[in-house]
Amino acid sequence: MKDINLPRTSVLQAGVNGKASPLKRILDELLDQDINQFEETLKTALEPQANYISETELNIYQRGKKIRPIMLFLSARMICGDEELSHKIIKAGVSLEMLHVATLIHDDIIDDALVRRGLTSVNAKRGTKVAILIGDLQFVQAIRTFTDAVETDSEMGLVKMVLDTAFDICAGELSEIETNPSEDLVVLRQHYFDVIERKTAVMFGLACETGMALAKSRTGESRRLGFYGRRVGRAFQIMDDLFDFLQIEEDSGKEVGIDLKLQRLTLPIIYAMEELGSSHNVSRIMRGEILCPDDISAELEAIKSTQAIERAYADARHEALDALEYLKHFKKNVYRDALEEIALFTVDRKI
Amino acid sequence: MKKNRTYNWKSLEESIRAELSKEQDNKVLNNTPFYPLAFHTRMPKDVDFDNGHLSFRFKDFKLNGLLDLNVISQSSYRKENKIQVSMRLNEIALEAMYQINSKYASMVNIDTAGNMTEFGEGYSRVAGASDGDTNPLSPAEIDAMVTQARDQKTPINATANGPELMSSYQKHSESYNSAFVVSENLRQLWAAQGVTTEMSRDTHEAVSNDTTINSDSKVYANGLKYNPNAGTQQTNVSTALLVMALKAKGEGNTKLYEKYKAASKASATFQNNVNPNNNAPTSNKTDVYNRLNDKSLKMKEMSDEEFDNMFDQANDEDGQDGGADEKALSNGWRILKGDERKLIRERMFLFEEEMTMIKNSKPELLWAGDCWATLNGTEASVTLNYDESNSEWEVSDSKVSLPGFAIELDDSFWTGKTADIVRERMASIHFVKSLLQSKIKSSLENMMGKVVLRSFTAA
Repeated sequence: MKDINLPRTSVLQAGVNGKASPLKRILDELLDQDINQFEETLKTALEPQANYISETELNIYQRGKKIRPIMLFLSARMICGDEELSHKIIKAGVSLEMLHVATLIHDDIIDDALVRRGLTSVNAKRGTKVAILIGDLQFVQAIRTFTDAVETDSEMGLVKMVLDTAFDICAGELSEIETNPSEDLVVLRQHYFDVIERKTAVMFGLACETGMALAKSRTGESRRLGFYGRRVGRAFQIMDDLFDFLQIEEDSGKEVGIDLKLQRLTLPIIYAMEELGSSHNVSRIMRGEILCPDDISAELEAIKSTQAIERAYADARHEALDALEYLKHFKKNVYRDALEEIALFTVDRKI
Repeated sequence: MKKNRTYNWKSLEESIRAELSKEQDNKVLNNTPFYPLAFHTRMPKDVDFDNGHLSFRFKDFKLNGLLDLNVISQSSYRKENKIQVSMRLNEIALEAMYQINSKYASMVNIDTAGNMTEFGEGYSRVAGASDGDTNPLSPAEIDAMVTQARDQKTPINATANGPELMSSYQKHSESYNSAFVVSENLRQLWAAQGVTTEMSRDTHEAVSNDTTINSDSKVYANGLKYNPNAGTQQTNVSTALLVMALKAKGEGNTKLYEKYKAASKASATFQNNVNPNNNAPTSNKTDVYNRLNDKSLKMKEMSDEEFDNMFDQANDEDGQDGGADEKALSNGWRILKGDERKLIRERMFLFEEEMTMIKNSKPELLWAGDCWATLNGTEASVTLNYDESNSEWEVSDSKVSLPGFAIELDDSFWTGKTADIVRERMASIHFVKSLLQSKIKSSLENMMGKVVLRSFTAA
């Protein structure tokens, strides 16, 4: 055995512990006041639905990481600094969170998911019909709240952006469902990126662009920050798809390999299909040629034996680092640092 | 049934050690792909280029110290049809190599995602930008222009054709950004001789004073007037995107081809509608608003055929070969002028050459060295069951528990600011580290299961 204790002039240690999520620290240290106002405004925005929503939906709101509002507030604070944020910015944050919750409720219906954020999903608790309408309510109330936030004519353009985003999210979901798994793998990979752009990235981009625009930034700057946001959104979604194979079920509350069971063509699955070949069971399950077995441990092992996870991770890192390119020309301050930290944490967090 | 603790664990330990020695040189993990580490980083002095992207990977994994193993008889047991073997691997260590690569990247010093102006201090000017006598825009000028643009946004949106005009950019903004980020030539053409800067200065002034925006008398540093310069920039963008589209198609990425081609066509459509033959009528702000408000004007979407025909015309240098021109005439499409055809041909060649160069550009090894992780005290537990239907023993469970996992790298020869960036980023690769840990664990579980089965059945 080679002596690993040879004296070195310098040694880099990649650390034993995983990096802690920066979100809590950001909330406590930078956005404490904003998030209190956010909670109050959310409560008000949910009041018109009081007769219809239950603890189940309120729990979804409570347990969320609120990453989109956080990014919106940080984007606004890049311009406003420590000044108090205007109420319209807080309302915009609430609107995006409602839009996000709407997509979660509808996602669970589509996936027949029984659990959401460790608790029973809305569809499991209240049935599909009610869940559809409750999701719709969140969509509509999100737009109403955003429209309320708009004060000037020039901000009306932002309402169109929110509507475009809502449209994109729905189109992205439809596009995902209608993916033809028999297409060429290069095309499937591009299709995946198109889907996550609409399903996830546009909302992250919207959060950043809107936050900055409502804080009266220059148009070019808010547009540029939107590019940052979309890239973080892409990295976030790819990582989410990776964790489907890596997280322990008890910790995440999600069934491991659910994407394979639901025949959802995520990036690691596409890469695995490429490496395993078209006759492998993973490829055949995805193309619907054979039924997915209840016990998918062999298929999961097969996927893990390829470089699919590593390759998809390289793509996620690419997006996160590219996001920093659109951030670096802004004046350095604690809020920009926090956005940088969020981008890096997205891909540097421990399994 | 009572557990048999009198089993000869020492002998089994010897057999396991013998079997493990056969596995010692087997590959435990695949090399990782190169992971991006940092973009647009200043390179150390001994590298041929100043600015580049960094990536890293781990390779040549080896597990050492496998033979220093003890069976823990206290927590092992043997029953009639079952055996569980608990082991401690005392001196196990992972060894590998790391590689850090650098790849040339041209510095992006235009705000490609924002307002297309040059970035401020700390960024060198675009090559060619300083060729002319044009001064770069001052921060005060940029502020004034941006304020003016913001003030125009609402009234433009209120016109009949304004919203479509505005949303057209939004729809393809990612593609336009990609073209400017990917193509250094496109950025240089945009900034060449300060013409774009001068034109934006003139536009700002003309809008402020409601005087002619696209003067037909002023000649810019490149010898062209406002309309032809605007047309040239549209052609540059449109052609660069078409070349990127064709490259994607060549790689089988038909979806990306469609995306870039749509953006390329949108740029050509705009030119065809607003400035056909570089002949837009001279207009002041009021004229522009009148046109935007003219409900009879409708942006005529260019068909794929018409778009392709433009490039066919361009390849027919003098219009004598007939085919493309004839088709355009019979369909009522625009006939390109000689200088437009020449420009398209030149740009196609320029961008094709650039894309080939980018494709052929290979990363270079910046630093490589040893890395290792000590895994002393790793514990393994393997359970074998006797399957009566097949009359054979099989592995029913194999579990490995690793101690805390830290990867150490020899970075003693890293130098300069690049080293600081690499150290900072490498210190945070928690995902990579935990993925490696998880793969080592599965690899060991697999290996120990096989080894214990072979050792036990051979005994």
